[in-house]
Amino acid sequence: MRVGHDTKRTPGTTSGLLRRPLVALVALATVGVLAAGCGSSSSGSGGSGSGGGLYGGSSVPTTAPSAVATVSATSTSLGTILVDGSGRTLYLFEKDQSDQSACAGACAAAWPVDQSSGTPKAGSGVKASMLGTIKRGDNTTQVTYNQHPLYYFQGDSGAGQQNGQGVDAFGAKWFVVNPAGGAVSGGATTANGGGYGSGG
Amino acid sequence: MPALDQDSRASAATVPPGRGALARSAIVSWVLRIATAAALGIDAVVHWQNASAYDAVTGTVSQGELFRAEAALAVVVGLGVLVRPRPSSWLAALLVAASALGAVLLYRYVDVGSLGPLPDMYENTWQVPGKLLSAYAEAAAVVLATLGLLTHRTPGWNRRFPWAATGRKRG
Repeated sequence: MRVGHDTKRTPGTTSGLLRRPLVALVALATVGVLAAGCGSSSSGSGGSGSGGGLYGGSSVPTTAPSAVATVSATSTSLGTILVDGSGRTLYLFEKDQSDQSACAGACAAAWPVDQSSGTPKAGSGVKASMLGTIKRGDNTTQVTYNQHPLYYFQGDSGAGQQNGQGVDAFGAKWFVVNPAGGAVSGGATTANGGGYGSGG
Repeated sequence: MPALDQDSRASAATVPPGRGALARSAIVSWVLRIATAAALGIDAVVHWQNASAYDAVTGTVSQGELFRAEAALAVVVGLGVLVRPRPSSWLAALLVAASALGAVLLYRYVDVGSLGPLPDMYENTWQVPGKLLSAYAEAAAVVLATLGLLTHRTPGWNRRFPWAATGRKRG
């Protein structure tokens, strides 16, 4: 049996550490923690970007591609902002250009796009003339408002959360959108997206 | 019988480690090597898969290019500890994992802006696919590579790495 360096060692120079079960225990514990991390990070699925498995994925249920999206306005601590038909907060990405998304791959997994199968419906407080759609590289249709492509945030687990407000990710900031079609810059957060506070 | 006692002592002093001890050492070594390589492999996969989303974050080099370089380095040093578990291999694995972990923590919590040729990689969220997993893997690789380095001191270790030698003064 080949045992690498160990066979060449003399009894006096073989490291005592190697014989200690503590080393093996620490190594195995580290592997265990790592495996647990793999398990917890691989939960979730869906999203419009790549995701799933080891890579992780979005836990945000986006609008089904076959459904027509609805965009409404609702009052929050950040002011009146855009949400989807179920009250989920919608965001814009500062790096996007007019009717053009700069978010794909891992970005779109963290910030799932608001998809629609056709012209989105304008809910209360929203100007229908500002609503539109763009075709993405993966052939999905993304809702836009005032030519800003709209996204969800993976860190929002339900309606009424704005954990993505002010987050700096993928090279620019993310903001909630007001009914006038602009970014709401207040309440910028430096907290983890998993938090609940959105500032004021 | 003094002569016999001397022989016994001499014999006992030269008895090589038993098969059990060698087998245990080999098992510990393989556990460390495989676990370190696996941790670095996770780091590599996450960085490689996320790289394209960061190509637009540019300085002299883009963040995407840095991610690909990190992935390549992690693969190389991971294979190094797996195939040739020398102190230099463990040291390389430790440096790659520690620098990656340091970078992800720095840019998560401190907005340092652009640094020299590096782009502004500030990102105040863990909500990026694989980011937290990758950080855990890097931390694990740091621990494992340190253990690997400490447990692979061969007879020539102090000669080749005098700066890390214990129990003797420099120069």
